[in-house]
Amino acid sequence: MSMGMFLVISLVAPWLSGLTMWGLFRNNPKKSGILSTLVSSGILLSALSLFQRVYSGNASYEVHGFFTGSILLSVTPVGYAFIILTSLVWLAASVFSIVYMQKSHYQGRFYLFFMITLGSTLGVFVSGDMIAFFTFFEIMSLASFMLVIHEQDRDALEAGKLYIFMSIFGSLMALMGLFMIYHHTGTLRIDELHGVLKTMGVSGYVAYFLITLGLGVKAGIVPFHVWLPKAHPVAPSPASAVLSGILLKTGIYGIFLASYVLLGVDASIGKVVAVLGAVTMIMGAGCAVKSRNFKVLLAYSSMSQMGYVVLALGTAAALEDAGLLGYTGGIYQAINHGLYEAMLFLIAGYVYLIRGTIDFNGLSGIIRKDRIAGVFLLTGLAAISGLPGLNGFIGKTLIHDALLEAYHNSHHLLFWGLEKAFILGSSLTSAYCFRIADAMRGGEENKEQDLPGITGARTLVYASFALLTGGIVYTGLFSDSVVSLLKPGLQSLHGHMPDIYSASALLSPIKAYIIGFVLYMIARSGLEGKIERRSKEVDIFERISQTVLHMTGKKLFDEKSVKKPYVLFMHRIRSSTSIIHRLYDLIKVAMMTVVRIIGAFFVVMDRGFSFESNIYNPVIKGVYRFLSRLFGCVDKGVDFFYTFFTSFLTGIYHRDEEENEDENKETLIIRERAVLYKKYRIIVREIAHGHFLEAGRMVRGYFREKEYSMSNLNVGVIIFAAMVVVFMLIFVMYVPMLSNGAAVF
Amino acid sequence: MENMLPLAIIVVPFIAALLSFAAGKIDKRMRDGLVFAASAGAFVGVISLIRMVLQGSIYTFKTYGLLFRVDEMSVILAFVTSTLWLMSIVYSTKYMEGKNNPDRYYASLLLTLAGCLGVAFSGGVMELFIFFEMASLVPYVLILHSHSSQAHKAASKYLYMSIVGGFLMFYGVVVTYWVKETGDFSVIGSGEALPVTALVAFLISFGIKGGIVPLHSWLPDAHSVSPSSVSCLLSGITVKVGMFGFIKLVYYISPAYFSENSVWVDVLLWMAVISIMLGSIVAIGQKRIKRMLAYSTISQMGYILLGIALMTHRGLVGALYHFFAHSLMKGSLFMIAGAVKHKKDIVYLEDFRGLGREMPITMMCYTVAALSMVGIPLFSGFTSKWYLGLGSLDAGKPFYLGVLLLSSLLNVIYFFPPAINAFFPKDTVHNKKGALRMDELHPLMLVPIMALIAGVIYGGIFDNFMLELASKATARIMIR
Repeated sequence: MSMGMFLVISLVAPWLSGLTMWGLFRNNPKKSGILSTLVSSGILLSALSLFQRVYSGNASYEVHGFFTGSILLSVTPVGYAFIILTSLVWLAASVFSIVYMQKSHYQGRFYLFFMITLGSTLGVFVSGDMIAFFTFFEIMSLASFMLVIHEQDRDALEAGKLYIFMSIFGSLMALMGLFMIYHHTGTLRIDELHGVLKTMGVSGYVAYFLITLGLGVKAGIVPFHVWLPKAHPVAPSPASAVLSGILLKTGIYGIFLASYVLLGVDASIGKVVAVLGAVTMIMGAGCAVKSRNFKVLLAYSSMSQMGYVVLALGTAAALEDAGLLGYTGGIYQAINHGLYEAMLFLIAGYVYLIRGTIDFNGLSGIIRKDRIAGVFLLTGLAAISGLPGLNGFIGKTLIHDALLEAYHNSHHLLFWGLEKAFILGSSLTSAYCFRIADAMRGGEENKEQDLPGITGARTLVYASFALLTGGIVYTGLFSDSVVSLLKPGLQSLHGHMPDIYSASALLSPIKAYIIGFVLYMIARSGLEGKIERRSKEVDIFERISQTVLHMTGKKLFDEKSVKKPYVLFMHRIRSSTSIIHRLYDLIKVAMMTVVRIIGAFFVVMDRGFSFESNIYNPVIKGVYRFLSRLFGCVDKGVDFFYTFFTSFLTGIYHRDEEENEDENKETLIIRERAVLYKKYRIIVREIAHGHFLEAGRMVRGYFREKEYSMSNLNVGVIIFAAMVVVFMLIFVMYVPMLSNGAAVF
Repeated sequence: MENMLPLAIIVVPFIAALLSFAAGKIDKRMRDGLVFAASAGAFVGVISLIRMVLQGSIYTFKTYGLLFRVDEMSVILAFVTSTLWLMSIVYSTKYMEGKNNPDRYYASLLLTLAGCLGVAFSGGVMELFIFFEMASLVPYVLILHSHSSQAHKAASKYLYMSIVGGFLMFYGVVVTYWVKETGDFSVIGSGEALPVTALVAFLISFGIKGGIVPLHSWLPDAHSVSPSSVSCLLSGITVKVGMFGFIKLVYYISPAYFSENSVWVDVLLWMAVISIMLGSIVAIGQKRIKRMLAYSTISQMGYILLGIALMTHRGLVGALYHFFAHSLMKGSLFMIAGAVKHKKDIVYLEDFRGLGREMPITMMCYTVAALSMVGIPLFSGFTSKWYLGLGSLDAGKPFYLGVLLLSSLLNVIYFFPPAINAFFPKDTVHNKKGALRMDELHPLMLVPIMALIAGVIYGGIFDNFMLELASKATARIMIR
């Protein structure tokens, strides 16, 4: 097949078919789904027939007349692997969508943007220069935004807003890096850019970090991951599958290009990236163990898997010329993740179809009710947790060996630590797999009937699972063929391929399973204990206060008597002199600010970053108020600044909150959160006014009503906080390296 | 013949303005036809002039005591002017239907067109001053058009500031003649430098016209009270006339002050940065669409000033290309704002919620223009941003690249929410009434908007002639 033909099929056909679906089959989602299936299978076949051309090295095509010059489209071996993966996952998601989308709304729009996303994602992988890469990346971000907000409920719109702002923020960062490269070289063709960042001095490193972090937004790297656990669960399942399975890979592909092609090899930068990956891996897995529902768990799991990949890419860069193992492992793991995560998201969609929920209790008894789907789910879990024989095992073994090799080569303490972190990450991965498996147990008590309407179409659902399972098993059993496929793309490197089924390699998943089981048991007992405690209504604050009060057999003082002398005293202070007055105000506001910042930190850790509800109100308002008191400004000025900066964030989607009487579950959860949030602010105010007793009572109520805040705080957050500290230390140590060019480590 | 064409381009709208005022008293349709014919004639004339210029005919000529000059830079301004004017006049036929004083409106519209085209073809400071005054004072009538009290206030503000700018410019022109004894652009740049006072006078005068930040205060008021068909011209063209003046000032009138590392370059750069950031930040807080667009114009004029002041080839290409890109984007955005007001009586941004169901084509155009404003590839806004960014790196000042990208991010914050709210309102999810219920604009209003948007897309994707023109113009300017 000629390259031009392939480009027409992969880049133009999705757009045309998408417009057809939107124009003609708007009221017939079934036809759209079938057309989408046909297009993606056509792309898969044409990609497969491009094999010879890719490996003989003449798969490039130049389009003239764009962007005041020409753009180059070419298929490299690594990009080729991603193209095959993309078309396979899209095929499965399309097959599944035939069943799934019948119950949804606005199918025409969904399929239009589903296909545009397909076309632009393939464009990212075939682009031969960075400007084409950036263009397709941008189209993809905008088109996938429409998939994220498809449900158009409150959560989806919130998540979509976060997603679009963060995507564009990231791509602007990347664009700044591209500007620097283009200014230096005058070209952005990838084949002319090998090792270009090394020739740019310090600005090369700056450009590298801009590109890596900018594209890291898309890949869900830690400081920029916050959109991911929000956006993936709210999309319809076929869209979640491709968002998680494929779109994250575009970020990974960009980081690969930045590391391998643009930067070449650089040990010190590699270490920073590896640490970033390790933090992502552990934090994602830790949050997954304690997540609220099945799809959120899968989203966190995606994030954790991207951490594996970035860890591998960083290690490979750190290994310098011997980095073959690391790059192979990273890309292998990216492919694996695309296959099993997409399947798990599709299964989540299937569970939603038959049970009407994405909570864990929707999974209970699934293996009894539907053995085939249960087996597919177990296969996915086995693959993700690294069971030998399936693909996850291969990827993890390659990454683990790369880490060991890096430690062996450099005897650097960092790699020892990273290797241990890798084991912890694998254990946490198996822990959340245990959590899903645990939720699948039971079924006797679950008397709910399956929802009707799916029975006729199960074959299609199973076909979509089977496609991906085929991929999982193939990449698990024939790892050599995949590795040899990737090798020509990494020609400048060398390194030995390890024996994958060696004894030590077989031992490590067992280790991970055992530690993971223990971790899960701890987490589970925490969860159950919390539920029991809640049911017993044990009230520590109440009990202590009662004990104190009743020691003399009567109430010593009621609330009024507590309040009165205090108020009188404060009134006297306030009215005495202006200095004391000011001092008092200052102390009060300082205390309030500190409490607010700490509170906001925990709230952010707990719920992720959300513009209007979390950060802005407590922190910025507190800080402004504090500063204004400090400098003796009036409050009106504060309010002006505060409104000035936040007016664009609030009130965009919140206006008709009262009008909306849609009492579905999401709304209830949000209302609940809003109530809790208000309580939290009241507590802060009470503390600030010195009413500690009331505040204590409210704190108790706050945590009792908000049980999940504790559940997320114990594993994920503490590990994350520790890792962030480690990461910052390392980063600080690297700053002199950036200016001197000499590695500290 | 060569001399006749530019002259005709300026004179035809001028005469047509007088004729149309008379024609309006006789027959409405005759007037409309005359106005359209005049602006279309100017457009065709400019197009044929561009062909001649691209083939290399650059010349200066003197008629009736006035010096005219035809080169790439002047045809760029003339092209965007005549295009946007033609579109605005087509748009006006429906938009101004049934509103007060149509004859006065069309006559002053054509007079302003003649003034702007005159600025484009002026060959010396005196001619620049004459046409500049024509392009500054006549819009007073247009801003005043609705006769509301806000319109009176805004128009007075505009008039006072324009007159101050005009006096200062007159001072500069007189001093130029006194020092150089000629006003010809091709000779005044060389030799003895102008006094600093003249430079400052020119700077303030062009700054007022271009809406650069300390001197911008007329702009948001005037843009938001005037009819939308006028605000699209004010924002698309007349502020660019000020920017055109800046190019003339920096590269022709007093290049001695703008050498490398001169303090005046830094002054211009900082004016640009402050305009960009302040315009963007203030636009975020706006509640009415036209005020938001007006502040966005201030920020975009900062882009152009930045490109001029960077003193690099690619920076100036970006600035000249932004003449084209910004007038198309902002012209269509103002037309959309006017259309929404005209059809639905919506002026507040938050009322855009759900508008995509009723006016899908208009809102699609809004979305494309917004994307282009942000600088997404495939739209012209990206091309100008690309060249401006490279220009700032060429100048060795990556700080300004950061400013550009930060301002793009701010653009996202204020341009996207109306588009998102328009197409995805929260309350129409499970509601079949949420389906499309078309209530689109009249074709005569829709076609100009769509034509401008088509220009935005064409300019972003294809290797277009505007870029060729801009780089040729830059080469000619930079040679000096």
